[in-house]
Amino acid sequence: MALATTSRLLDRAALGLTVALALFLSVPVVLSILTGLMVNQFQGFSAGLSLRWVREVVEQYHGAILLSVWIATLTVLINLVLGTLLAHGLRRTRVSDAGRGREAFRGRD
Amino acid sequence: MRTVGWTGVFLAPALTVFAAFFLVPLARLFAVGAAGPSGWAAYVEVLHNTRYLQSFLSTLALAGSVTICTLCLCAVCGVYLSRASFAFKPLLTAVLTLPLAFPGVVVGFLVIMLGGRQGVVAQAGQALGGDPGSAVVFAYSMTGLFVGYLYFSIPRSMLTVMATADKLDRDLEEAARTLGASAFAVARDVILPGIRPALVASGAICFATAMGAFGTAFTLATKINVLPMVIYSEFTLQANLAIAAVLSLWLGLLTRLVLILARSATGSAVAAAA
Repeated sequence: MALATTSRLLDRAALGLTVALALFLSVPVVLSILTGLMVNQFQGFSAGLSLRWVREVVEQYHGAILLSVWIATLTVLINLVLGTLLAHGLRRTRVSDAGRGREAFRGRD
Repeated sequence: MRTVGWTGVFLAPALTVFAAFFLVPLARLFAVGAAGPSGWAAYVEVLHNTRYLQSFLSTLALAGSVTICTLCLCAVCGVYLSRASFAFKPLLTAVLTLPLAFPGVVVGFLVIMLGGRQGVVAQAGQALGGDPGSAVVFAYSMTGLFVGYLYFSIPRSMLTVMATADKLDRDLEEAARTLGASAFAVARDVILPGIRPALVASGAICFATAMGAFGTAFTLATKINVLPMVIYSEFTLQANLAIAAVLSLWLGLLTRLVLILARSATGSAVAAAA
């Protein structure tokens, strides 16, 4: 009986810790989204909500946003080609060497 | 022989890029480090300089404490989440892995949301009756950096621990319980050894990130005395290229060393994940 109680207590503690962590990770995100939607961040909600800042960011920084997306896309493409070739090449090495003498690769797998 | 030739064709592009964008710059950096007034001796001298040594040690302490904290939290919550079954579990898991997509700069901004002058903690303090002059502001300091790296590392480590905990053999735990082991003993002798590879792997990544990450520190304050910030200010503000190069190489070497140690401790592919 004592065992069951301890285990339930531990369960509760773990749940509490997990929820606390989830709050730690999510509260700043929610707040920053809300701040982005406030008309005036120093007055808070009383001044109302608007998409004004979102619109201004898109208007002013669409160049930077597109550039980031473009660089990321290029990186993915280059990596895809080089990485696939490399992986295939490495696999071939492993296979052909294994045929010659498995001993040398014993330490690796 | 023909096979070897084709293998070379497959390996060549990636090896060329690796050489051009990693080996050559690294060799240049090594040479630049010796181009200062004290030549090659600079590599030893920085270790005798109190300011640099101090920042070395505080970076190590920061990375170490972030790693330990992350691992403790993720071990408990990861195992718990992989076992538990309740209605909100998918939501909770989703929230815990949400920050995976945020880069360091964004994490720095979120830390300011929490611990800045207008942050949650400062406002909660005022709401509870504290006077505005003594508001708790921790964002622009080592504490803020610690919170930021914790924020950055928890989702990654949590995923790894959960994936490993899912595969643990529950029969072993039940056997241990049947034989009279306490909940604590089961956690220490059965679960912990089971998730050890996950802890070592994610701990190594966490440590390497906390050693070298720059974005978060740069968002919070340029005066935090961690090695990446020192390298930045030597390079950009004081144009002290040699010292910046020497410190960079020491930082890289130290981080690499920890990753190698972690890999030899588990025998798993830690470096591949990093």
